[in-house]
Amino acid sequence: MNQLYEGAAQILLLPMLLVPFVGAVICAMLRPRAAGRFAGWTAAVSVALAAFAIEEFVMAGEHPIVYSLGGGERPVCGLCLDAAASFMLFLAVLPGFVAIIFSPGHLGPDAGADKVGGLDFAGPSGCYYSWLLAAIGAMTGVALACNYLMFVVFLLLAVTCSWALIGYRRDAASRSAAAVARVVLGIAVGLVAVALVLMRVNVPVDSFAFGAIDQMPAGMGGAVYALLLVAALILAGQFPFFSYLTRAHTAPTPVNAYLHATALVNAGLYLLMRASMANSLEPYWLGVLACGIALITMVLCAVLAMFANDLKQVLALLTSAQLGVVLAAIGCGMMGSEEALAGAMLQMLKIGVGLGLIYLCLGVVMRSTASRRVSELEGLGHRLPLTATGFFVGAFTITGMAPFPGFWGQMLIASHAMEVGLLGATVGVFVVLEGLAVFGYLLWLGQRVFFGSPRDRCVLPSDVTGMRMAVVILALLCLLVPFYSLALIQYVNVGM
Amino acid sequence: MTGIDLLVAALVALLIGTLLTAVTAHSRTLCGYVAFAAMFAATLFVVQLAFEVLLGGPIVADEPLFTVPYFHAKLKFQVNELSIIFMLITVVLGSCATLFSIRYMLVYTQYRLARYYPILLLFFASILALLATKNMLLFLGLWEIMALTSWLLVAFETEDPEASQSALIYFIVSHVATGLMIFALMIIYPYTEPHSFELADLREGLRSMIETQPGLVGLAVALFVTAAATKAGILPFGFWLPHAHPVAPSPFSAVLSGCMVKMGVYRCLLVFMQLLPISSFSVVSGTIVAVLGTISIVVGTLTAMRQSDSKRLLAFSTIGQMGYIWLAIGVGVAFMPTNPYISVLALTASLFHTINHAGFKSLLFLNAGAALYRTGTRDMEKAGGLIQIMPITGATAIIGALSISGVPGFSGFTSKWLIVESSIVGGWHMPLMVFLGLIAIFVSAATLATLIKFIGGIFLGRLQVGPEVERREVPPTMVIAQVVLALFCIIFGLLPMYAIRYMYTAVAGSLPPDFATPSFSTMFGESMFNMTLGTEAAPSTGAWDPIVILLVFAGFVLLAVLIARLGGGARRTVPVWLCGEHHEFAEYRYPSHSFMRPFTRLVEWMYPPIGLKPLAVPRALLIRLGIEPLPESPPRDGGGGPVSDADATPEPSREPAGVSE
Repeated sequence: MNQLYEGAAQILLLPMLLVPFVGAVICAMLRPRAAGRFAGWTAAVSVALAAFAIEEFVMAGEHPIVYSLGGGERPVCGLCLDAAASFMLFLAVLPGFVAIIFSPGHLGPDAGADKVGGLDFAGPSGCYYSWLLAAIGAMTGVALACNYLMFVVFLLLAVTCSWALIGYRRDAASRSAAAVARVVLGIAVGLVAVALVLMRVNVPVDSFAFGAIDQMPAGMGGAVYALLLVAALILAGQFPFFSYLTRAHTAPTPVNAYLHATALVNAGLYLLMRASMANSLEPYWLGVLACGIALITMVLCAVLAMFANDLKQVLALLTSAQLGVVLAAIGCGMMGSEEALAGAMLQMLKIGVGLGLIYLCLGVVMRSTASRRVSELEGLGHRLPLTATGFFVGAFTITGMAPFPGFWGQMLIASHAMEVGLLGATVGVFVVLEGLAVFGYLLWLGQRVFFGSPRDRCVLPSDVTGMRMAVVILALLCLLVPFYSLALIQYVNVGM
Repeated sequence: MTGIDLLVAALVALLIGTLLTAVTAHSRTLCGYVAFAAMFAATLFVVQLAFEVLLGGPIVADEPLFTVPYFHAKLKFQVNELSIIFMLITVVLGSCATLFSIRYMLVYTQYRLARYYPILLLFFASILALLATKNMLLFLGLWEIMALTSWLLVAFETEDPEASQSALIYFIVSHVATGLMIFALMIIYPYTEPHSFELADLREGLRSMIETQPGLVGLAVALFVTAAATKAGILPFGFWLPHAHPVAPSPFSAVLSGCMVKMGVYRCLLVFMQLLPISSFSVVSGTIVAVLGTISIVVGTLTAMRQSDSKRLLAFSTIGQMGYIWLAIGVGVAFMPTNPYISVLALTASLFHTINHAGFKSLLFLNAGAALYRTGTRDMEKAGGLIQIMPITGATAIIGALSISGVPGFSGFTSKWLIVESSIVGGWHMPLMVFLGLIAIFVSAATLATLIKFIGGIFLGRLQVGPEVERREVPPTMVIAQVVLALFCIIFGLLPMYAIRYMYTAVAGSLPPDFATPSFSTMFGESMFNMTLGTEAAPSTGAWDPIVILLVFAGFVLLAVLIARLGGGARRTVPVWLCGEHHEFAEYRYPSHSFMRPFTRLVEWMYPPIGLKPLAVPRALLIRLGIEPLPESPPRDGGGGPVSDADATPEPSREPAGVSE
């Protein structure tokens, strides 16, 4: 029976990867409104395929499901679905779908606006949806990559999509931010590519497998790990690379919510996690380094976010701070705590749904008030009750409030970090403190924006259905994710 | 239906009530009745469960309700003698509060009641569930649900900046307290074998740490106690309390003070009676708890005197009264290793004062709410003489005030007596306790003064309110809720032994099996009408029989009245003599703050003005990091912000629109 499930999941892997890319090509040829609808349905199909594949994987037991494109059991080109990939796959497709259905309302005209202008008010172009679907496809590839080589290929594609979407508006600021992001992220991809070269030189057989680092000489393995760590730091906007993330927020909010809060920023950490799970000889000093950088990022970005006045800057800095928690947990994992690695996975998931939800809710706020300044916003709860609810659900999710998803990951990291000594204990303490600080700040922000006397200057777009659906879906996911993630996390320590 | 099924039924009733009130929220009165029906049903189930537990011992579920994967944390309900006491407090106050809310909440016409009743019922459900779980991970989860729902209720008036600010302070402090508990669990968890968050496993973990890691044990206990003190409103951690209590709707203020802060007491008792093994740590931490309690007694009560806002006065008074409870817990814990008699006496006293305080403080908040309902003000300077138009509310307020002040014959007296008795008897072994006990006695007089201000300011004297105020008693549902609580104050005052017996059972049942608990008859005697007083060496040196003493007292009063009547003195009503000058009443009226002017001057030094500047990150750093725009760059949105998002195009000429989600 298990083989049956395994076979079903295997069949689904390739369509899951291809559907978004095919959809991207078709979208590029459609008119904007039709492209939006088509992109939404395409992303929905991707979500359905991913959900089905994950379900089949769980039913099949603990075995990773491999789809080979040549190369037998350990293919050079292939896809693999295991527990860790399931987490990343979740982040790759679901927030992408949500970003697509959120976009028409968010980038479209106001309610009651003059529609005589025709195409000017038709919302995002087909090209926009095309890039977004390509990004979903690329991130699906990142999640399902069966080795480092496949990972790099899809990562490069995702970085290209990010560049195109950041520069979507084509004004000077967007172009500049897109260029910066392209260069910075290009460096990250380059570092992983260098690591691949080192692996190819030192490991003659199965050079790019996730577990290949163990077969390298200790010093060389350490160098590969260091390259992967720096790439992860760049992608996740960790100290000192977080300013690229703050610049990248010239992109439309749905793009930020998907790529720069959920999918792309997690890719490097996911790679590091995979490497750590598949190899047993991680250098201890690298864990210490990762923890140290994570602690600096957590503190610095959380503090800076509290003093920023631009909502998008706040969100960018909070993203870096939250990803710092994941990095710290991975650092503890490198120092020997498997449970901390599991905690890192849970944290990634909660960032995906929680922070994504906050992005979208504040996107609604920015859209309806035409303002991004915290000091100008108040009393919106009366006009935007659903958004207010979504914001608080997202805030409670990412700050580790029980029983929301962040709590379980935080408890896993905090309670097991002490096993790796004083540094682990420090990490545990800082993870909880960061949660408390961000909780206080987001609560203040939420009350400031949504509480108070009702505000008149609040104009919603004409098409709010998609925006509402997006907020509701992510809010429900925030409540349901613990059930999914805690059930799946039991299979995580099974390596490839 | 028996055992745990009753608890499950109560929870189901509350959850069904949550759904139904959400559905019927458009009908404001019906919604209130539905909430009351659900709460009352839950009360009946819990009362039946209480009989089973208090008469038959703890009840444990056969199977866990569910298990959290990976953590292997099982939600397996257990109800013991200690938790059932707090469950009873919860459901009884819940019933009174929802009954009171039915008419009271109708004044909030601009707010939807879908934001009140469903959340209130969920709040009670979370408390019942957390009282029945012994897994600390799930305890934390339910604790946070309680905090979340209470935050929503404190912030009910979202348009009121004071309410928003107070709710913010409350929720942040509450979450920080949860963080402290997480730190404490972080410390103990690695020492549990197997790794677990079950209370029994954590206790064994602590036991193994006492010899090897005494510093960490001290730290963990300190974190637990600080978290509990924060929730209980114990100073200096309970500073949130005077902010949150006044701004919440009055029925929920009653619940906050009568029920939610008691969860801090429960947690503290849980830590010392079921988590921390009896050791030298008990002595040290018990002493610290007692000192913190005494500080709260003094500062809370004296600060209450300064207040002119009725609900704020009661909130500070709550801090003072919680101080009594903590003093008793401290004494009880400090004597656990050395003197079981004093320990059990003090812990019984703490539990008894807990239920008494739940009764009279909730009653006083409902009284304040009734006055607010009728007059629209919480300012005692603007009220006065309301007993003339609200006689039942006024009478119940007087009963509540006499109870909280520890006047003999009312509920607060016996529990305060036991607290002071345990402190002073404990002073033979630890002189500090005598000092703390004496402070508690003297501040009790200040409590009476504070509550005289409350009663005098709102209910006594000449009627102050304008003609626009309706001159009649508050609606019957509000009256019934107050009368029920007033009856509890009288019953526990006249027949304290019934309650004390169950408090003793709860304490004895929660202490470790090897603890040498003295028998009930040794400590309090056999009779259900009078209570034996004494020490461990001489247990029966006196007795307190409230009914007999009150009958004697009533006889003297009757005699005095008879003498006055027989003397034939005529009763005259004359205007106040103003030295022949004409003054308006407002000019010579003795307002509520004048009662306390000498006291406030005396304690002025305790409240120095502190001017703190807000923190700020250097602007140069923010510019350097790209968080703030360069000063010379022109603002893109007219307001100076770097708005470059396609979705945030500034449109300054937008018309206000009535579009909403």
